[in-house]
Amino acid sequence: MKSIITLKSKLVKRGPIFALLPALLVVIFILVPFGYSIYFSLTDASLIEKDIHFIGFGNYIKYFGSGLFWHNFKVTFSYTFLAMFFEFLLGFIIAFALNQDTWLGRFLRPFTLFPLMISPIIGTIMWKLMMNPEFSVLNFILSPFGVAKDFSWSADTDYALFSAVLIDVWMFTPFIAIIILAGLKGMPPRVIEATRVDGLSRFTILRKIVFPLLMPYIVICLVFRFIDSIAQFDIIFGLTRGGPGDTLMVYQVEAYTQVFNYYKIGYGSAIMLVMWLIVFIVCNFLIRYWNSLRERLR
Amino acid sequence: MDKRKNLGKNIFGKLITYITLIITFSFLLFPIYWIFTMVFKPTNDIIAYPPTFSFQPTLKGILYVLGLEEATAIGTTAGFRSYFLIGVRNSLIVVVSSILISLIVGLPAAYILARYKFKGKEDIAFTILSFRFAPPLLVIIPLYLLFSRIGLYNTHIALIWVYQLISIPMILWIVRGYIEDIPIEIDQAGMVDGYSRIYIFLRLILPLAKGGIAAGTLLAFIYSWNNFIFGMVLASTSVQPVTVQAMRYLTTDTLMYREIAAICIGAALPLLILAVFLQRYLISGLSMGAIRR
Repeated sequence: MKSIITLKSKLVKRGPIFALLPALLVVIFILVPFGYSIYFSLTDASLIEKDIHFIGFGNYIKYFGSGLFWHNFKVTFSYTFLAMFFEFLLGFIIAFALNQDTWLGRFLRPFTLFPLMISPIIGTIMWKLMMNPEFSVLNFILSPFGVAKDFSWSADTDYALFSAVLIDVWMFTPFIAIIILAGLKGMPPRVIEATRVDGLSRFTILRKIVFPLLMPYIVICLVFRFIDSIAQFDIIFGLTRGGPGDTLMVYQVEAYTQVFNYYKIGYGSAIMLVMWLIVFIVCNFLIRYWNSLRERLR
Repeated sequence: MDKRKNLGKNIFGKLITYITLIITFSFLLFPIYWIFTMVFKPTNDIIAYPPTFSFQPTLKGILYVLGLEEATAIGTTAGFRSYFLIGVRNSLIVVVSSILISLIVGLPAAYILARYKFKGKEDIAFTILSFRFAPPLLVIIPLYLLFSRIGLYNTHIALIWVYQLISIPMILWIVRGYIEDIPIEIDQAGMVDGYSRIYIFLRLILPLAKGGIAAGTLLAFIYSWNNFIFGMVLASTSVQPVTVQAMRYLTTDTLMYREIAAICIGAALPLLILAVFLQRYLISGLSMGAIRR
């Protein structure tokens, strides 16, 4: 009898843990596969052969030794930084333009998020239809700037990265525009008015007052865009599957190719884990910083 | 004098704003417009160069997507059936059930993570959040092997399982933020009145967190609907969602541009409509609840 009572009070005390269980269970379903990835990366596991041999750090040594690592690293990070640079530039321009009270801005605002709503793979297919060198409407629009009728965009080694970045910029600029716009709208109007009276130049107002107040919003954009573009798969897979050659082999596409085209599960897992570790370190820092800003935005 | 100078400056500023808006929004919206017109173009107009802006519209693209008419690829006579409706059916099954599960599992967890104090709380919250940012392949390569072995490969259940990776972090983090904004006095008042925690959660807190639940559900829906890689790796034609079905036409050598365009627009249209009407939830949801206005 007594034990039942204590059990009951224990249950009440432990209530939170019991209610969290379902969420934890799902976490475990995800973490177990993750553990398996680590195991596979230390073996020569293959999609077509049954036998698995433990080979220690063989996959890792091969990945770093072959120069593939640096290639994937370079492609992944050039893609990320180019895309983010243009997205921030364009996103800020759109946010500031929408923040001016004009009828055109009020009319266009609901459409800002359209590209972001479209699935990355669908958006990429749409751009491919416009980039087809047989009947490219883009080449037609850009012909006054000297673009040839049969300019082949992603099929051209020199322009493949540019083409992928262009699609990324189209898709994710709205994200930055809308978050920065939220920041501008949330700014106390008196702050701006007060500075106008003091006769400060527009540039000084921007640099000394507007940007510091926008900082939390900028960091949100940085965190989400950085983490998502580092792990970009859909756009590049849809556009060229990493080609032409290995031009667009970001690490996610590389790992996919190793596993599903060359059947090397072990090697593919090692590639994923190396990049995951790099991304994890950066993300951990960014996410914690973001969380401290989350508190401040309240 | 000074006033006139200001007026001139204002008009100039307005002009710059208008030009900026026209250029940037042309870039954002032209692709959607162009693919939309492609759905209604006769084949000759699709492959015409220079591109044609006016044309005799055809309904073939729509009929094809709805499964009412087979399409023939350019240069062949073989007919192709549309996989679009199969894809939409699969997407709906997987997305709706995975969101329901995430709500059942995630809402109580969101409440507890917002209200209780216990050791390791933030670590749990961050582990769940980190799935929003985890590279998907890391998890699905082992799951692919596991599912193949236990017979779950190419089932809706397998996809519903992995889609939790998308919807649980969204719902949990967004709703948690909203609950944290609800004054704790409401919980306390409920307890003074002798209500149980479960009653307080269901009857007092959930109704007040409506906005967060809406934002979380909406975002989870968008991201799940748009996901491509899970369905591509873990299923084949009969179970794959609409995003993977759309890709199918690019991998074959069939040149069915109008049909591809029609599938793209068909997959995107529901979300575009949602975006116009539910904009305010989107902004809060896109920042995982960091911006809440």
